[in-house]
Amino acid sequence: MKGSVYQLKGVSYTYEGSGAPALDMGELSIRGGEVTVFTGPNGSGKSTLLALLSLDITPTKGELLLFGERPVPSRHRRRIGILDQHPYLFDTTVRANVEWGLRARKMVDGMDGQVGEVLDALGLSSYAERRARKLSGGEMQRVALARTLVLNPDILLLDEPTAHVDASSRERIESIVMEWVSREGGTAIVTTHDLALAHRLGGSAYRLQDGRASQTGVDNVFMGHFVGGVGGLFDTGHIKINVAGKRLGEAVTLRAEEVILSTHHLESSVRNNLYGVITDVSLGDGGLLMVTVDCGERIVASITPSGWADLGVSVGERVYVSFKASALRVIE
Amino acid sequence: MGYLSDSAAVAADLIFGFDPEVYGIVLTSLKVSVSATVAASLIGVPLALLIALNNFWGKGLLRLLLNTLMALPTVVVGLFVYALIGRAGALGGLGLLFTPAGIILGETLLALPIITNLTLVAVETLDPRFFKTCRSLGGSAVRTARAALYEARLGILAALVAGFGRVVAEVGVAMILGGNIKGFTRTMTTAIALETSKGEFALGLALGVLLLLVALLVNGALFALRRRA
Repeated sequence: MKGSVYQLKGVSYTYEGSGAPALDMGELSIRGGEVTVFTGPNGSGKSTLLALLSLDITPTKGELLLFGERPVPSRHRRRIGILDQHPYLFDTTVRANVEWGLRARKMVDGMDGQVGEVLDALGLSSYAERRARKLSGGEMQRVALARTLVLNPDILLLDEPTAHVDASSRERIESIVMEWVSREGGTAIVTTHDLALAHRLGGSAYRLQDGRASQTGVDNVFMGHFVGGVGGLFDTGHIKINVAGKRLGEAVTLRAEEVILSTHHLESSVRNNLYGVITDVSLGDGGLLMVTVDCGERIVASITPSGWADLGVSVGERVYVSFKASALRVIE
Repeated sequence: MGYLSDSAAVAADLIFGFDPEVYGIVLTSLKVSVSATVAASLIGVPLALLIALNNFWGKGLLRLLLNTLMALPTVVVGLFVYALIGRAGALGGLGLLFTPAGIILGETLLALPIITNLTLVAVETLDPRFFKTCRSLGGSAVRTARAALYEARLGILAALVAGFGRVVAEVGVAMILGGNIKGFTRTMTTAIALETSKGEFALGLALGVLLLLVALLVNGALFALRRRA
């Protein structure tokens, strides 16, 4: 499904008795047929945004359109699947949980086949007759995803889908969601504080801060490890990056506006100097250009059109890429 | 002291000798109490679901009323129903006064607020994610109610046990509406009251022990169910 699925027009939401809005989204379109990720710390408005998108609450200001029209919850909810961070599973078998929505919607023709298929895809076939609540966190999350996907929604809202699950469940959940998006043309909207997850899922990424969204969230995420298990030097397997401080983690992030491009090697105090080929130039937020340079890792820099003109280079040519060690954020 | 221990010895004889009069009274008590509990559940549980799953004006007031009615004195229920089914009452023609059916009617009214209120609490204290999940999966009101019935089953069972405990142990309704007729409407509690007033402790003591045993069995069954869950 291409085009805008959700359109937020000056949407804000203020909880009763609270002075400041919990969410103030301004203008935003969420495109169909791809993954959109909202990252941000606790209290940044992620839950409020999901409540809005799932039609549980309506904007206190502005207008939210779904498929180009004002949503009618009783009708449009059928098209939205929700996967919670801590899903509620009915105190019954895995199969009965997955069948619940189908029975509720009287979609029982061919139910056994559909349920078998989705259980199989999520690696749950052998668990079908087990009690859902006796499973591990990752398995329960997969049951909840199966229960949602079997209803064939157009939109999937995922709230921190892999925050409390083991690595194998996480991989399976991510790959199923990605496959669902690419094969079925589904629209996945994910909120997470995990920038690495946002990077793996790709698609459009927004950063939520104090209820406001900006599209500069996860321009650059590098996965890897710190050399020698101490802070300072981060190895992605392709490049080594100097990182200020002693924090350790499995990923480091870099905002596109922190990256400097030059045609000559900079003699400066900047600790990271790389050299690579420009692979892509596209228009980003606020009229800035997003320039992708392959230095062994793809690094995105945002620069003004006049800066790009002064640089005098184009796609396929080589540039120097510099950024300060203090510009990197470590993700644990 | 000797008098009490003599009574205890006679009571033990009555219990272990399976005295027909004693067990006849126990049976009447159980029949009446179980019937009243079933009747009150058939009305109270759906009513509680209806209240829990809907928002309407006056819901708070209704809850206050139900809470108040939980403390309804048995003699007051007895009095009202007596007025209703007594010869001059609106339902006087049915001939329910001084019959087991009359006691069942009164005890149903006694158990109804307890069962309704405790079921309401059991459903309303379900995980809030339950209701959200039902809604997002497209559950109708009826399907959500059915699921709530199952998810809150232990709390609802506890409500039924509390209702049963109330009616099996009460004496006011059974005395006023049943009339304590030997072999017909004499229940454990009315028999104990009568025997005590006659100074015959043995039969009262035997029935008292059996009454406690019934309560123990019912609560033990609930306890076992909870542990299994």
